Amino acid sequence: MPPSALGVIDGGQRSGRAWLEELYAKYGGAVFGRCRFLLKNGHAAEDAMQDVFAKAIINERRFRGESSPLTWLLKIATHHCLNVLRGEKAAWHDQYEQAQVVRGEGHGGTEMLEARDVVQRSLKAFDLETQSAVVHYYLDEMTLEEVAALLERSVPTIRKRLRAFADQTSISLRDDVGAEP
Amino acid sequence: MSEHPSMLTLRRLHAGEAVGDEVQAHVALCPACAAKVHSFVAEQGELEQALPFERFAAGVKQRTARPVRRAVTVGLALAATLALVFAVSRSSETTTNRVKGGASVDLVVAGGGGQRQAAGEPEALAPGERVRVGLTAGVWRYAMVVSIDERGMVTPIYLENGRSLSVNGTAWLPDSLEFTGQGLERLVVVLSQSPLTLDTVSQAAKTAYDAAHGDVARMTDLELPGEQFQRTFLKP
Repeated sequence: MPPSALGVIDGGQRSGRAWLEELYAKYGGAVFGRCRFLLKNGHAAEDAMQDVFAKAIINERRFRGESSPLTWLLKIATHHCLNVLRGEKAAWHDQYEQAQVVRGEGHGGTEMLEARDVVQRSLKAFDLETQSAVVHYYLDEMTLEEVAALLERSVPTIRKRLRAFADQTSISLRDDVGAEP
Repeated sequence: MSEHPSMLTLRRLHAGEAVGDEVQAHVALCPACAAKVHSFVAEQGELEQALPFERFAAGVKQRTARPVRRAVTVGLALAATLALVFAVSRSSETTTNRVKGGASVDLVVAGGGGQRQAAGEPEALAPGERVRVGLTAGVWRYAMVVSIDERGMVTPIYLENGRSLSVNGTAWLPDSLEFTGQGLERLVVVLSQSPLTLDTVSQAAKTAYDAAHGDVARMTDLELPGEQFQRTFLKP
C-alpha cells in the first residue's frame, strides 16, 4: 500500500484548525469544483463542500489512512451531491441553458468539453451507481479498473453501467471499456 | 510517458500527493498538462473568493460540533404501554413492504405537502415532514426500531426498557418521527422471536455501518436473528 499522502500533514483533529486550513488549501478547489459542477449552484456547492470536509474530519482515522485523500474526497463529494440532487428532485438538467459556462478541463479540448456537457445534461436519467461511475470515468478520467475499485464494484458491473450510459448518449467510451465482446 | 496523465492524477500532483516521477516529468514537458495544473491554482483562488477559509471553517465546525441530535422526536413514554394489539385504521394508499414471516412494514411520510408512502432509496424528506411506522408482526414476537446516521451514530427509536418491544398484530407505532440534522439516516426495523438488547442491536448496526464504509445507504442486514427492514432517509 502506498504511504498516505496525509503523512505530510501534521495533526488531525487534535490540531484542528491548522489541519483544516491545510486540507482547504490542498483539496478545497477540487472539491468545490466538483460540487459546483454537479449542483450548478455556488451556494449549494459551498454547503456541500462543508458537508464533505465535515465528513473527512468526523472520519479522520479512515481519511488519514487513505493513500489518496483527494480521491476519497472526490468520491464523497460526488456521492453527496448526487444524493442532494436526488433529494431535491431538481430538474437541474433542464436548467442547463442557465448554467454557467462549462470551463475547459482536460486535454481533449472541444471533445472533453462535449463529454462534460453530455455528462452534466444526461446524468439524471440514470441510477446513482451509474451516475457515480460516469462522473469518475469522464470527469476524473479514471480507468475502468480504478472506478470499479473506488466504487467497490466489479469491473464487469462498472463496464455495464458505462456502456449503458454511452449507449443512451452521444458520448464515447475510451478503449479500456471497449466494444461489446 | 506517451499519454497524458488523467485529470485525477494531475489534481493529485497539484495537491502534493505521490504520483510518481514520471508524471512530474511529463508535466514539466507538456504545456497542456502544465496549463491544467496551473488552472487548479486559479480554481483554488475562485474558492477562496467565494468561500473564504474563515467562513468555510465556521461551517465545517458547525457541522462537526452538531450536538447529538434527537434523531427522532417521538412519544417514547408511550412505548412502555405498547402491546401492539391495534385497531388503528391504515391508509389505503400505503404500499406494504413485506418481510419474511408474514410481517410487513409501512412507512408513511406526512407534512405540508400531504401524505405519501416512503418508497425512495433514499427517501428525501422536506422540512417539517414526519415519518410514521406501521408494523404487522406476523410470526415475530418482538420488534426494535433504531436509526443510524452518516456518522455512525445509532439512535434508539422504538424499544422498551432497553430491549425489543413485545409485538403482535398490526399497528402504527405511536407518534411520528422527525429526523433532524442533515444528510442520510437509515431506519432499521428488527423483528425477532426473543427480545434483543439495545446494545446488541447498536453494535450490529455499527458493524454493518463499518462494513459499508460509512455509507448508510449501502448497509446490509444487521447480523442479528430474525428479520429486518431498512429504509434510508435524506434529511432536509
